Amino acid sequence: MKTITAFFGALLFALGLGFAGMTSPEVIKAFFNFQNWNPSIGIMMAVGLMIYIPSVIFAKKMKKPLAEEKFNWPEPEALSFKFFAGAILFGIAWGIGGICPGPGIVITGALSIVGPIFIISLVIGMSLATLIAKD
Amino acid sequence: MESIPYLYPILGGVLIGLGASLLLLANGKSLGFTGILKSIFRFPGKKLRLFQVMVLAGTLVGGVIIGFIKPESLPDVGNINLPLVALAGFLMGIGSHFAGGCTSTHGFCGTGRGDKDSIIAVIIFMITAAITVNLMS
Repeated sequence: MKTITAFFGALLFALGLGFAGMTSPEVIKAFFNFQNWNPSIGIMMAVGLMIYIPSVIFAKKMKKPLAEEKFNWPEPEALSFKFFAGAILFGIAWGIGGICPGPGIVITGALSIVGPIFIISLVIGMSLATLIAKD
Repeated sequence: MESIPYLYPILGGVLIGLGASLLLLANGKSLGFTGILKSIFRFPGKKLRLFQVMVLAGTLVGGVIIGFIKPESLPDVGNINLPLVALAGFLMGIGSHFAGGCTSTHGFCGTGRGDKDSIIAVIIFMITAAITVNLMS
């Protein structure tokens, strides 16, 4: 059961990214463009959160997930120099490429060469960062 | 259908909301693609379980479908600077490692949980993305 929900949850999410245009560097950059603004990504996020936030509230009341033993709530990040530097660098990279990890995988699935180029570069960057310092 | 403003972003939002909710309510997990990739590529300290494999598979299959039904959402290969994509990916790999996640981790799930660190991360990377885009255009 949990195998099926993992697969379909991700599938729905991926379709959502594709439909909203999160997989398009043009659409992403247009969201950040002051002159020619395209709010699509913001609308996607807002609508998504309108559904996800109630799920979070409901989940916190549940004893256990429907198909698993327990919830895996992520630990908060320490607000360190590394954290801030990372976020700044992330944003710069996002502005340069207009692609981020999830959409990168979706693009890969669509057999566009842009996908693997992005993801492999991403993994190389993550590897280097891991070698430099723990996150 | 096309006359409904922002139909596709709205539909997209519904799908990501439902997808992430399913993963949370059924599997008890938040969706963070950098975490998934770290598990798949066997990074130290990241367990590889069936969950991560299924999330990767579902995302890839979603991509296959998008390739068929909405290919205009994909990058325009004829009009894109591939070395710049590689550079962006590389920098994002470093940045996401130190930020502890990416748009799905912090921007969506973390913000959805109301985690302060995620909200701060999102604000910072949205601002720097905007500055970068406007400087480059």
